[in-house]
Amino acid sequence: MHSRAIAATLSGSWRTDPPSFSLSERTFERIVPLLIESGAGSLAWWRLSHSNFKDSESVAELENTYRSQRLLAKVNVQRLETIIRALQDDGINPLLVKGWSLARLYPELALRPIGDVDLFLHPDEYALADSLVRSLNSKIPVDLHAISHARKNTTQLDGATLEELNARCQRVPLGDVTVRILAPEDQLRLVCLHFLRHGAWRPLWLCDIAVALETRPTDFDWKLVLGKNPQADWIACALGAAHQLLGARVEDTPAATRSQNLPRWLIPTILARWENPNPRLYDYPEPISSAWRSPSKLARAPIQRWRDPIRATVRMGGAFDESPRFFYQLTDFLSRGTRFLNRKHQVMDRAE
Amino acid sequence: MNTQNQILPMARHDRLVIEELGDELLIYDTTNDRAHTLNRTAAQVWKLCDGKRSVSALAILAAKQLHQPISDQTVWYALEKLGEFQLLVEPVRVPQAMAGISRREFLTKFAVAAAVVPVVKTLRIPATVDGVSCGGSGSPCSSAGPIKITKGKRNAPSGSLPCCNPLICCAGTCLDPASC
Repeated sequence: MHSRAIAATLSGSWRTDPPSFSLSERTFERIVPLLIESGAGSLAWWRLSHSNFKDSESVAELENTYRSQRLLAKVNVQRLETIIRALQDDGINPLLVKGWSLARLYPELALRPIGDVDLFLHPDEYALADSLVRSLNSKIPVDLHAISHARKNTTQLDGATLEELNARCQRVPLGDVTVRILAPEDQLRLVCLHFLRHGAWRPLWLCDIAVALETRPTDFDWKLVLGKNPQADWIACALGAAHQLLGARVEDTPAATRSQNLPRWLIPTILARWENPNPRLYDYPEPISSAWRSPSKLARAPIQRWRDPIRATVRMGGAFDESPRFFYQLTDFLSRGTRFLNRKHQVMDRAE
Repeated sequence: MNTQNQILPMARHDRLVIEELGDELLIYDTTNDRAHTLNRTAAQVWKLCDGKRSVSALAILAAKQLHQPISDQTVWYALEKLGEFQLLVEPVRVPQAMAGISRREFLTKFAVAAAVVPVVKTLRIPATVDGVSCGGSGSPCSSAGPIKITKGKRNAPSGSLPCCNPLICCAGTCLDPASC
């Protein structure tokens, strides 16, 4: 199974001194493209460089990925600095989440692609930030998130308000500017929920959970992660998945017990996604508006929209227990189908 | 006076992002979003091109830095390559005997050790699904076209990410709403 080999390759890869490992050449050749395409190529190279792998085309490919990531990291940090500086010059001080704020936890920035820039803002700042970002015409995509003070608009944040995030945030240097990033507790909570919300398709995100977990400060407040919040058990399960699949250290955490008792469907679901870790397979299906012209595409449309157990459970606010996932998957499918039909109905009404 | 000694190559630094990796130089050209790698010899020659040194001077200095014999021909070869990749302020006109010479010809004709041959090449940046969760301006977006799921093969779907706020998907490309 490719997915097991991917897990084996990435185990402990976020550490300064990752454990050595071995893998059959044939298996290795098969998973290298998957690692590279899912953004974990550089991390895999890091693991390899601490093991005894003989030179091969696959090894060279991973090394090339590392080299290009190393250069891109520098380029993207400059781009990011430009964006943050421009916003700060106009009195906007956003919270930078994911991307660079996670990459900086790894032994080298090059090990984790920065991707796009996610910025949390107050809704009042949104219009100005939007205008500034557009004028910069940056080559790195910027995603602005207006986070209101109301608890309801915090699905990503498990109930934390912007005020609370701001109060706890860290201020860290980014080149010549100082940027605000989430507190370690908020960051860990976010990456766990993000991983689950996207159906755990990306192995790199589980590495993010592992590195955020293992680099936490000594005064880390677990109550902010696993305290009285509805998603605490989800988060514990995400930590457990990082432990069981990648060897993340949970022994001295409140999630230790849960990590040994995960629902039986969780790990197989993650591994099934990792057989072909690409979000475009599942997350972004072709719109019905263009698929309906082709009978074969239309026939595939429901399959593409049938969510995996993880996403369906999270979307329906369900429990990570041993009950069959089919109920959540069916409810999710029907609810989305109903919403789609309602939208179509409204469009047709307006057209009339 | 030998006109070739009047050629004083200058390395370009404008809009380049440079990263040293061991003896190698990785260079990202932000004017055309291309990345290059320079091996040890090419990197040393490039670094020494300050607009004041002749080719002969570059050869002498490079040999000192690299602890290896470096001929004028090696420097000319490096300069031609650097010029091709727009890493010099102005490309240099190399002697006729060197113009367009391939690596193999260079090795044969000038009996240079392979390890010393300057190498400048494009750094291939893998097309990764690098966790970009939204498409920037100009990116293909979710109405772009079919997602190819080929039985028995890993799929290679066309880009279909949602557009970064506040861009919208306009005829398959993420654009500013005002431009749609």
